[in-house]
Order: sequence, then C-alpha cells, then structure tokens
Amino acid sequence: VFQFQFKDVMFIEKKADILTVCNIGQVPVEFEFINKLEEQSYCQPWLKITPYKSVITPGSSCEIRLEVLVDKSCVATLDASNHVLDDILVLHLTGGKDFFITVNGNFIPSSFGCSLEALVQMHGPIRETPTAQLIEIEQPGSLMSRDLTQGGRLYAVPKEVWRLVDHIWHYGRDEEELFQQRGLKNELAAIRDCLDTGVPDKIPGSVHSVTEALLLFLECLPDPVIPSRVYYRSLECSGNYMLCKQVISEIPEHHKNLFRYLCAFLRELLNHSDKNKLDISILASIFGEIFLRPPPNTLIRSLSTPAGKAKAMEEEMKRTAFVTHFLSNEFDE
Amino acid sequence: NHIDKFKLSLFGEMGVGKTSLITRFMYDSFDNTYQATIGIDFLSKTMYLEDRTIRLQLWDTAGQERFRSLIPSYIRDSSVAVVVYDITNANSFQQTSKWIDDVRTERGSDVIIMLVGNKTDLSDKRQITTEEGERKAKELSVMFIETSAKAGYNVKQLFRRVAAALPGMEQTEPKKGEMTEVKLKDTGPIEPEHKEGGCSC
Repeated sequence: VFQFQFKDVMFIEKKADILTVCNIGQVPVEFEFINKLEEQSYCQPWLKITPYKSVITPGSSCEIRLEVLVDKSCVATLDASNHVLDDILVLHLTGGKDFFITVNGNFIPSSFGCSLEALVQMHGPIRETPTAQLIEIEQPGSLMSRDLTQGGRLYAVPKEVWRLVDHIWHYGRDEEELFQQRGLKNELAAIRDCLDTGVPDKIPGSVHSVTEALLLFLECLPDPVIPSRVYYRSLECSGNYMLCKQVISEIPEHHKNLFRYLCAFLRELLNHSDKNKLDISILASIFGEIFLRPPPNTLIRSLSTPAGKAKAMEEEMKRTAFVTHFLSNEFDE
Repeated sequence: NHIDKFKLSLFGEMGVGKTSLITRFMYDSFDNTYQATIGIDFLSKTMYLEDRTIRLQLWDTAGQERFRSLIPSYIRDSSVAVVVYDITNANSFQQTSKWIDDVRTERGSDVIIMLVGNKTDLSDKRQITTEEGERKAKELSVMFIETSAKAGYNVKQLFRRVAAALPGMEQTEPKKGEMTEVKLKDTGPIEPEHKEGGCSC
C-alpha cells in the first residue's frame, strides 16, 4: 500500500503509477508532500508527483500520479555502482499524521550518463559489462591508474560517439537542418538500446533522431567535453584563439581527443554546406552549449532580471566564440 | 484555565509495542494482529494530575530501519521521548542507546526520557532482566519502567510518571487542526504512453 516499485526503468522512458488518497473523514483534509530533513526537495530528481499538494473534501478522493523519468538532468546523479532508484516520500496531512511512502526501482544502466573516463575504457556494450567492472571504471582516476602494459587498450573516443558520428556522416551529411530538427521519442529509445546492447549494427531511426542522440549523449556526460573546471577560463579566453588552444592543451587526453574528433567532424560537415546549409555560427552556438558547461554547483542566475539576462547572453556569446575558433581553423595539435 | 500542552513521542525498533502502548493508554484495549506503523501518527489525551491538568500529544513513530533517517525531525519539538524495547528481544534493547543518543543530539538535556521495557507478559521468553534495564537507565540518566501493553500492566503508570516530571509551565504549542482519517490504496500500474511518431518535446 505504501510501497511503489518501478521495475527496469530505462533512460528517457517514463513509468507512472497512481496513489489514491481517499478522505473517509468528516472534514476536508489538506495533504502535501513535505521535504525530508535537510533535503532541498520532497522527492528525488527522477521522480515527479502531481499534484504534490491539494485539498480533498469528505467522501472524495485524489489520484496522485507518481512519475519516474531518468533524463539528462539527473542520469549523471545515479552513479554506476548503484543503479538503484530509492526514495521515501513524506505525505503530510495538515494538522494530522504523516505517511511514509517508499518508492524504489532499478535502473537499467545506459551509456548515456557514463563518464568519459569510463566510456573510453568500456569495450563491450554497457548492458554486457559486469557491474563490478562498471564500478571500477567509473571510479575517478581509474583511467590514470590503468596499466596498459598488462594488455588492453583504450578508445580514443567512446565507441558510442564514434558510431553516432559515423552514422551521421554516412547517412546525413547532406541533410538540411542537422542538429536543429528534433528527433522522435521512440527512435531515441531505439538508438539508446542500439548503443547499449551493440545491436543492430546500423543505428535505427532518422538522421535527426541520431543527431539529437549525439547531442543528448554529450549533454549527459557528467563532466562535459571541455571539463567544467576550465569553464570560466575558457570564457575568458574566448576572444583569443591562441589562449583557447592553450586551455585545450591542458585538459585530460580523453577529453582533448573527443573535442578534437568532434570539431574535425563538424568541419567536415561544413565542407558540405552547399547541400546541408550548415554554417559555423549555427554549429558553434549549438556545440558551444554542449562542449562548455559551468560547474554543477554554480548558482543558477535568474533570467528574469535584465542583469541576469545580459550575463547569460554574454556567456552564450563567449561559448560560441570559443567553439568558432576551432570550427574555422584546422586544429590538429 | 490554562492547560499546558506537551508533545510526547515514542521511539524504538519495529514491533516493540509503541503503537500498542498508545492504544492501551488511550482506549484500554489491545489488538493481537500486528500492523507496522508506516509513518507518524498522533493522538491527544488530557491528563488530570493532582495539581493541574495537562494535554499530552502522543506521537507514534515508525520503527522500521529504512525510515530511521526520517525520525530525527520528529524528535525536535518533543518534550518527552519514550524509548521502547521488547524485553524478549536483546537487539531492540541494544538499539535503545542509539535512539537515546538521537534524542540527546536533538534536544540536549531539555527533554524527559523514559526507557520502557515492554512485553512483561512474555516472561518465559525474557532476554533482558529488569536489572539490566534499570542499570542502563541509570547510566544514561533516564527514567525506567517495565510494562505490558497486552496485559495492561504499568501503562498508565508510565504516562503518569512522565507527566509528573514535566515542568509546570511551558510555552503552549499552536492549536492543531482536527484529525482526519485518510485511507491510501494503490491502484495498479499504468503503462507509459507512447505516442507513435510524436514529437519528443
């Protein structure tokens, strides 16, 4: 009664259940889900409760929808070692009792949300990778401590990115509105399964679903292509190509490789601009936001104030400027 | 005609008899079927003491381990903490130290703590002697009593003793609203909808 189980939750796939609250008393009752001790919210980011508060008149009931969705905003918070969804909700009746409602489930591991460090060490599809190994390669610093003299190798870029890029190159380089048209939800799910299981060989779905999957994949990296710790420095340098290159030269090898690889791919696409109509400013703006992300604990500035808006626009312009350098120059060092 | 109000909360492992103690005290009855408390519930009772009348708000808490982290927020404004163990369950007795620690952490010395060994009716299964209970209570400077919610033994005395220990004046709490009964039921899962060919935005 007070327990909700969500079995086999997958990335970007909603699951929902209904909790019915009946007022069998004599007076109206107000309920509200309240925050647990010291927590910022009444539920985990992968859970949505509607309504989270309401009044029920005597004799009637309220259907509360519990919706589980692991998307780009929270996939990175589920660490690889613990693909468990677990939350306790406190349903509080104003002036009355509290009910504890347990919500749990298991999350099917996805390459979406894995760290770049883990991805370059992961040879097989993630769903065939043993949990123990996932835990090991998700450990920060696992890449540094890896002894390649004992055999094994690393990918220069994650195989998932390579597959997506290769597909776009083969089937979509002349397509218009690349990275601008949205993909289809069910196709994105099929692409996720294809990347996570390794089959089929050819990525399913339209080119626009594949381009969206690539953007999504990069957005889900816990630490972006250009690590967050150099975010502000990158913005500062954005006016000067030499300084931008300097920043890139200092980031870890696997980040550098991926950045170089993606820029080279985007430049190739620009070589086909007579057909795909892409231009540097569009790509630089789209990928500026993907490559450069502020550190996670940065205070989100209010966009409602003119000052906040101006600052956000300034950052956006700097991100675009940063990426523009690498799309307009051959960059191979 | 001022009536002081106090919040009294019961803590302890699951199945030690927190809800049963309240039921015995409030309704002088006992329910043989066990049902875990999944949350926090409270009842109010007016007590007529020799020199004054007080109103006790009795808070019953869930004892299950998985809810343990939620309980400290309910300790915060309690004047009395009744920490219960089951005399036939040594582990529940050991765990009382943790519960008392939690209460001290939240309330310091500004709280009355009563250690209660419940289920004296099951004397043949007893694992914790009265002396052990007394010793622990003394060590931790808390009050002590043994009870049986089932037999109705010492339950009134338990609440009378803590009530007598309460200070004469305390700030009154804001009036709580009326109680409402609410029943929860789980209807089956609903399938996630998939709009074929729909936009993902």
